[in-house]
Amino acid sequence: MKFKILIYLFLLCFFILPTVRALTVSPDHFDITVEKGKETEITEYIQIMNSATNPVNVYITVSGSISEFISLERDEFNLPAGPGPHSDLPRTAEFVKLTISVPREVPESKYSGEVVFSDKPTTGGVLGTSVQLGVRINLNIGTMAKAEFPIYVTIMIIVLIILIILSIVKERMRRFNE
Amino acid sequence: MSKIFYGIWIYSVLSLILVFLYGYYTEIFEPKLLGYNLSLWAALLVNLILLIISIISLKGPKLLPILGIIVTPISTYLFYASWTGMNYLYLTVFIIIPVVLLLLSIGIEKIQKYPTKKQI
Repeated sequence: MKFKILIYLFLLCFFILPTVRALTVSPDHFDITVEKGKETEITEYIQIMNSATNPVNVYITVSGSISEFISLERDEFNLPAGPGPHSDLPRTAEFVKLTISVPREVPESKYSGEVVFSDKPTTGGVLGTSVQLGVRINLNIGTMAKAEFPIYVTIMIIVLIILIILSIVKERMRRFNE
Repeated sequence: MSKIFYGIWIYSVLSLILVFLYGYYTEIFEPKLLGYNLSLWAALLVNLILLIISIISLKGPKLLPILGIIVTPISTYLFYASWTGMNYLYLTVFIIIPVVLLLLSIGIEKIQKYPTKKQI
């Protein structure tokens, strides 16, 4: 009986492991720091590769507190069949664009979550397996953003200072003449 | 004339202080009061001074006091919107307002100083 269970386990691993290894993502995590008090938009790309000989339907979901800031270019796509797990040929790959939009005012200082890629074989055998791969995203809200005035603001400030001084001088002269 | 002139001058100096705080001590406007950050309340306070002086000065020449009354809400909004959205274009218009008012007050004073042909 134990021997039979071992054989079943071996067969299960034999069929599942190649499927698990078939999909890979890169990079496996993002650490992002943005300035507080400034609307920020960051665009990142995640590469997902398939080495299995079956095409795969990939579904993308976002979990965790970061999900309110993330928008995905697409949440489902078809990844063509790869060359096989033991092949030296390049694997088929797709890029997924994700945009992280952090508003000016956020209550927390840290947000995290995962972009989860789950697959569903489009054609396949009897054994149905589903693989989930996550890309961890850590968002830190850093220190307050410093204002960087463009040149036209600086010019206007200088003009204002000159006018303030000029009006003092004029008022003094007027009083002196009186 | 003199009253509104001083009013505009004080308003210009206070506006300048607000702009310097914006540039170097941004965090000073971060605390919230009744749901709005201090940038709104600071701009409102500065503009309230101009509004009061403009209303008081309505008895004399009307141009500057009326302009003062018109620009106060605009100026308040511009500073608040500029700080919350980090929009420097709004900040520029916020600075242009005292510049124009100062130029007008200096110009009007100069015109009044010299009698026109009709007066001669």
